[in-house]
Amino acid sequence: MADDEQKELTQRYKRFQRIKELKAADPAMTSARALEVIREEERAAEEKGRAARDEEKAAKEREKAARTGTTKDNKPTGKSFSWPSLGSSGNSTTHHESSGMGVYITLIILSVIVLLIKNYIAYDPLISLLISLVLGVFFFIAVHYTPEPGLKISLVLFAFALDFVISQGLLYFIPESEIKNILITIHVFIWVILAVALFIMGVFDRLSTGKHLGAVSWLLLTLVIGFVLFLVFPLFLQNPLAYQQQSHDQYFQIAQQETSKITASLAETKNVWSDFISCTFDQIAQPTIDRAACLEEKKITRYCRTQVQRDADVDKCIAEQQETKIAVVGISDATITQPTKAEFVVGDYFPRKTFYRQGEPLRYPIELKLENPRKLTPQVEVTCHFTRGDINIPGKVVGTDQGNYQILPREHSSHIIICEPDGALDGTYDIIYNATLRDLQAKSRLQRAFIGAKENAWKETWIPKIMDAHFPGSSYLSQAPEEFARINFAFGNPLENPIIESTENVVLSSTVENVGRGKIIAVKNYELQLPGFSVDDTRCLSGSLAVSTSPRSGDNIYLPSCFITALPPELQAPSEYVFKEFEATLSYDYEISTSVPIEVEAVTS
Amino acid sequence: MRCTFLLFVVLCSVLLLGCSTGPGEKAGQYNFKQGMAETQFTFLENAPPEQIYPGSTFKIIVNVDNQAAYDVTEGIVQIIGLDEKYFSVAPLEQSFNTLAGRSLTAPEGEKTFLEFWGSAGNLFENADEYTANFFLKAHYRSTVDFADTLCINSRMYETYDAGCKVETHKSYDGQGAPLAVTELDEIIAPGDGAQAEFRLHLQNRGEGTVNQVNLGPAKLGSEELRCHFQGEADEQQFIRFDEQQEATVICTKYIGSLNSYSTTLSLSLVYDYDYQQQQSLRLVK
Repeated sequence: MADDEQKELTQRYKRFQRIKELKAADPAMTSARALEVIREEERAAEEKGRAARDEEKAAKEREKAARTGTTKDNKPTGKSFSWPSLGSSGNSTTHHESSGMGVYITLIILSVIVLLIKNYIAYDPLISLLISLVLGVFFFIAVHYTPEPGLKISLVLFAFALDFVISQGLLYFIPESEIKNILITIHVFIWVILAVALFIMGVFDRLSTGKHLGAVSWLLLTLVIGFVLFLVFPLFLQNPLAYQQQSHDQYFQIAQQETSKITASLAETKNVWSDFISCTFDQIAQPTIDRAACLEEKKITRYCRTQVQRDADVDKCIAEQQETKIAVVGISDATITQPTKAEFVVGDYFPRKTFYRQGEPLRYPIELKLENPRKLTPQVEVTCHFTRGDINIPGKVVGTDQGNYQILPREHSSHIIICEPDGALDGTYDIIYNATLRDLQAKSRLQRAFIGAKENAWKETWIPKIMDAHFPGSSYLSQAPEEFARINFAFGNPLENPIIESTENVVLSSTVENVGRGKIIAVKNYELQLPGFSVDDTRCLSGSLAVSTSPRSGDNIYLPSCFITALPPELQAPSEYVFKEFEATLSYDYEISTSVPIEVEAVTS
Repeated sequence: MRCTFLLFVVLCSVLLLGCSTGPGEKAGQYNFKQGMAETQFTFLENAPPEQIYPGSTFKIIVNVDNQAAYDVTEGIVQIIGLDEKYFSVAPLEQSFNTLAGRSLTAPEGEKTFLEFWGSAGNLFENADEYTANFFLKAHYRSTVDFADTLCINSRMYETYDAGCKVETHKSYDGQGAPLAVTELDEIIAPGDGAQAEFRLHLQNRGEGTVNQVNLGPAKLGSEELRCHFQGEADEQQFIRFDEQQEATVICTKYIGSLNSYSTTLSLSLVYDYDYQQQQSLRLVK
């Protein structure tokens, strides 16, 4: 007989015996009434038993708490978890006050030491993971004994998870993602950032309870707030890497570049604010000063001081910059939907990791693809080299043309570039492919309406009509296809006014704008086709320019400006108005490049 | 039987009601010199075509249709605003002869066609298309005649006068031209040496712009009326319309001390009119 059946039988027997007892005590009692009494007795017995069990459990817990000092949820006894004590007035438990700020300071020092160690071992993935684990444990234990550790523990766990996911997941499985640099920066600095964040939280906790910070804490707080992002990181990053190991030591370079960009932006921000304050005070002292011109002058002076050494050259540079400093804006020509494009395409079978045996060639092919709807025929020169930190190994492009070839006049062209290193490789590198496209041609167009001298009544009637019909939106600006570079040009009084009445104060100006992702190497020739126009400086109509610094994407090369002194006869006094389009041509050299990470493992046998 | 008779009556009624005077008689009763009407300028279908290809030729044919009640003269049509690099049109200006207005003898008005020859250039670089906006501008001269019967009463305070009643203010919806007399105010200074002053309000109701308006002959009955434009010297018989496109003509006449009588006030105006219309040509690859 099963246990359940046995139990049920026993219970039924007990009930039967109890009914007999009740009826014996009270012969008038019916069986139903007796059953009710029995059920109440059983219920009461059950509750009594439950209460006894609860009491026993509570007693056990009290005993355990007394022994370990924690609740059953492993929380400190006393105050339950709540949000950080910003603005709270609760008292921290005395048990954890003794941790003080020393914990946070220790964590900061520890994270900085780990940063140095990782720099030394060059971010080997496994060792990095091990160090992160150890560090995470230290952090976890440290914050466990701080006031209100709940959020801090969560932050530690989050930082560890982020570090793990980035280094072991994202950077491993998708090493070439577009946010690679950001991920690497996070991977390098996450523990230091966490330590600083915990320190700041600790400061708030301490101050909110009315306690004082020690001198060391104040000093560290000042450093953290004022200089940690500007001094501490660059200070560490200046250490050169001199190790050749199979590791991800380029992370430091990438993080350094990212930080340098931030530093440069912050420096520029500082410059802008200091110039602004300086020019504002100058304007207060001398109200006739134009603040915008003052800001521009300071920017030019700073630019020239960084470009040239001698004071005489600085003055010359300033004069040149001021002379040509009219930025002309242009827009993409919406009617040209197929611009010329060139890009490197890394194939699916690109050998990102190779095992290299001495004497065997290492070859890295990449495709240079060109979309050429206008069937241009630029000359292409391709070079390559291998880099790792400060190490630079030249490469050579193999093949019959050795990377020098002319694009055929076809709408689509594709060329395979094979790069071979000139030296032995062992470890991880970046292959940098550079392609210089020579003698590219770009054309821009600009529209203007010539009305001559007209009465006010005519102008009031017709100028709105002309603007509406011929210059909707931004079509008063010069337009060019969205290709590598374009020449923006304009003339008018002011420059952006497309209605030309006469030559009075009509300025002609142009700018070469880099709209691609590469660099402008040379401006070989520019020409503004304005037949019949007279200007006071013919350099603004045509010429060439030496590009001293290769402008990055979005940078402008300012071309000479001038005044228009005479219009062609047919545009001087039209009976109504003449609408005309002008073209400008730019001939230039452009460089595009790409970087592909590789890993080479030397094999001895 | 009764039903058949009823049906017969209904059919006869329908036939009788449906009958009306012929178009000739109806036209003879219609006064074209009312309301607003002006000369229309439209392009013929496919001239120009909706899409033009580089290097091709095309025609722009303008249909000039005089729907006003007056002849138009000295007409000029111009094409303005095309860039020769993309579209070359010749001639850019053409004139047209007198176009008769709508009348009993020409109830449809007179129309003419003006042809412009065009050739297309090339697109910029490898652009897909280019849209050229331009204006069709027309200029012509025309007239407008105003006439209405008015009551003249120099003895407005007489107790017994079985004549007409003076209406001091009257409104009109036009005289079949873009320039219209919209209101007339009659002011009579009664008594010996009574004088009547008529103020005619002119307004441009067309889609174009009125430039200069010249006063023509004005008569009250068979007698000449002296008129001038408000705000201008009496000797100056013309006015240039400004942005408001309206003006007031003031005509005065000594009417003497006579019983009230009805007579016709007539005024003729000659005006120059400009009309412009935005159009576009599309050059496609």
